[in-house]
Amino acid sequence: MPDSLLPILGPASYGERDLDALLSGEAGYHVVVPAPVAAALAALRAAPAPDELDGEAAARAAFRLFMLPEDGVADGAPVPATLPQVPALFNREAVAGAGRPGGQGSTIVLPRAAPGGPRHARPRRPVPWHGRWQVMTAACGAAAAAIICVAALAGAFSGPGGQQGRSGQRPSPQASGTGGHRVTSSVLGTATARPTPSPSAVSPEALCRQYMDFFTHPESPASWTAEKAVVQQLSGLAGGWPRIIGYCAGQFGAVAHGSNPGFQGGARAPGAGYPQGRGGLGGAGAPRLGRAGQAFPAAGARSLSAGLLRAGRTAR
Amino acid sequence: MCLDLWLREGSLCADTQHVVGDDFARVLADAQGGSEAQFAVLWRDANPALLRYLRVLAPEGAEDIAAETWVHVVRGLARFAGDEAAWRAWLFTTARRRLLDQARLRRRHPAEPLDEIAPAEVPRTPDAAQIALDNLATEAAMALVAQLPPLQADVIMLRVVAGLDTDAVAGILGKTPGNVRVMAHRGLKKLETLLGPAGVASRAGVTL
Repeated sequence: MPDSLLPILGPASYGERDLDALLSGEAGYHVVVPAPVAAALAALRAAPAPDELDGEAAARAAFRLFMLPEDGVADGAPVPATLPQVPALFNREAVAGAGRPGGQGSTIVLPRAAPGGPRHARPRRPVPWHGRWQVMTAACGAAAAAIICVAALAGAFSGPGGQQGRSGQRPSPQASGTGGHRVTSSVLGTATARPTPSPSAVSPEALCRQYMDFFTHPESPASWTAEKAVVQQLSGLAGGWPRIIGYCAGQFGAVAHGSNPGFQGGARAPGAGYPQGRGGLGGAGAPRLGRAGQAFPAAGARSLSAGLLRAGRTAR
Repeated sequence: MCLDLWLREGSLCADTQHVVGDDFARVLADAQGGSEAQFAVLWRDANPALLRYLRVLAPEGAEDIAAETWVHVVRGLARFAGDEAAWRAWLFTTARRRLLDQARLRRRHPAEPLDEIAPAEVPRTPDAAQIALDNLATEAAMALVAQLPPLQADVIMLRVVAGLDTDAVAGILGKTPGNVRVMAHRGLKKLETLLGPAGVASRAGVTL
């Protein structure tokens, strides 16, 4: 059957059968082939030259690397049963090929990996640092949120009887006039020291003394509630919170009219009749003048002006 | 086996094809079972033809490509099944793929040797033809085939050296069998043209 050969112009034309016989080197084809062509094709099929067999050692090494049986025996040549454990990336142990067939003592043997171990195991990739920092940042944020929540809950539920507590720091006495003396007394959750006095059972003098105690004992654990009650009562008695001081001065003057003459309104002898201050400005017992020209005791921790401001604040 | 006889006694065989012959199935089975000696038989049988094929198509890196080809063959040897013709077809298919990979690599990373004469300056054609006419040496014949167009040289080498039939060559090259025949025919005519100017008949006494 004719093939798809294109028509060839020239003296010699090969048929399909002759072509196959020529190319495959089969004898007996009857085509007229130029001798040089036939000789060239025969030369291509000539016996192997020695340099064409030089790579046998490398091929055997590759064969031992990939085709060595699991028991480690190939062609009767013993292979160490226990191969040393080496990392996967360096799983090539150069072993002198002593005793190998073919006198290939210099052949580099590439043994297989030890049975059971992964051939292409990779080391674990280390965790990047930015991931660790993210975890640490998240942990710190969670801890801060927990602290804030605990503090908020403690502030919300502090104080007696479920009453809402105040923060642990009072407003700063800006207009105290005490030269920056800070009031750091805390009333957080300590409203049980002094009970609120009953207005009907306490005389005005006692109210005034209690009121003054708020200034002379700044570290007293009295609550703002008790103080507010006293101020309200005194405001009612005096006709307003700005007149509390004058009212109390009058009360003290009426009660101690002769026994404590220094605590009267108006001019008086300096340094007489005042309770001794405790570390106030101006020294112990130093008289100070108010804006109305009255003399007031030097408060140990708080000045009277601060007390007035505070009284007005609580009365409002 | 012819090749073993040549290795033992130094005698020459008529050609390098079908040296394993009827024992191929047993040799292959032993090699697949881990017999290094039987694998060496397969290697000695096929490697000369493989090197000649590669030296015609890629003269610069034939040995490297052949070594890489054998590594691939060994890795897949346990899974191979077929007769000797299929074995050769598989071997040369693998070699041709490695050859194409090497050609791509060289296109991406071209290298120019500094101290060597450029291939274009080598007066290879007249010398090769003259040598082929004089003694029909293998190298001269390979140099002669190397002057053919690449596809024709590929077909001639696969048909003549590798001993593959038309269908196998067509499968390797991705052509139809008819196309392969055309290429072989044109290649032979080209060889005849190259040898023609010499006008010399063979005096080597080669019997086909």
